[in-house]
Amino acid sequence: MNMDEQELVSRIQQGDEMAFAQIVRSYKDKIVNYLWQLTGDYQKAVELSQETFIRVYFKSRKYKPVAPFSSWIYAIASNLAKTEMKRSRKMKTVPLDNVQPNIMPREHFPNNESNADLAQELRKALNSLHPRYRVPVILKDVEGFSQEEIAQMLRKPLGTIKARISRGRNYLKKELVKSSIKTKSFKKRKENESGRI
Amino acid sequence: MNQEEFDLLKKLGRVSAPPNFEENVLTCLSHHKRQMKARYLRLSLASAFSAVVVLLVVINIFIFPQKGPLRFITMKKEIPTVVQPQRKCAAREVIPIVEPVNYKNEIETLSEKSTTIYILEQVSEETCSEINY
Repeated sequence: MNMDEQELVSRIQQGDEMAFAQIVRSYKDKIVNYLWQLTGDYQKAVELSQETFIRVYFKSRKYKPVAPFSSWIYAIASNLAKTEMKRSRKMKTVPLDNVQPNIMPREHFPNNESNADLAQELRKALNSLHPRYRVPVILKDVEGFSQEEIAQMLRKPLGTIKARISRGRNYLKKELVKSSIKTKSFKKRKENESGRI
Repeated sequence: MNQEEFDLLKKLGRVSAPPNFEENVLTCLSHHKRQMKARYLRLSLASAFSAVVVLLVVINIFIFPQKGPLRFITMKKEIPTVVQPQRKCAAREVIPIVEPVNYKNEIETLSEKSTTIYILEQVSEETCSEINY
């Protein structure tokens, strides 16, 4: 944690809203993006991010500078997201494929069409991955945290985190292979149909 | 899954916070603060009220013991061993009722003679003088 952040946190602990606003400014995009990757719903991600920052303000006295401040914020966001995902898993009755996203975020897909398809398939696979594996995979491969940091953040042993990341990646790989087979067969069928015509 | 695919996971696409995010968070924060203040006020009022109630109970029991149930205990001790007949009556559930009755008017309706006023007195010590209902 750098010196500025430490100072900001100590000011937040004293109830300084300006310092809090500065923290929000510097972390808002990261947290919104992280929660969006986790939940797959932009509106929900924004709401959860707001809740995350509110908790940061009110729980700032509980923060101990043994771990980086970013890890602490991500830990709060992860816990909120996990709770939300559990709730939505209980309430879910409609398949995700049938659900149209209500608000489209400003997402930057790769320019290449095949890459865009792959990214879309990847997103689907990520959404179907269990939160237990999704959280460490995203923290590692999207947010770029080390396995040790993730273990500290999620309060799990390092071995557990390594295993979860590995299993999560394997699941994504399988899903991608499945979807690519499906896409290929679909394209072939389409080609055949157009050839007949 | 090879490393390239994981690089793709990194480039999966990023979103940024909406433009009014910061203001919304600060508004939400002030709303939360207000809510907490109100909750704190309610809690402190409730605790003050309960403290006053407890204080009143304590005062009633320990500082003014004669006004409490102890008083009746001492009264029982004062009851004499020889019970008088009148007291026997009082021991039963008797509700003494005093009714002001205008006998003069009643008698006037019966006869036109000079009015006589009857005063009823208790003649026996044995019977109960009060009216029983």
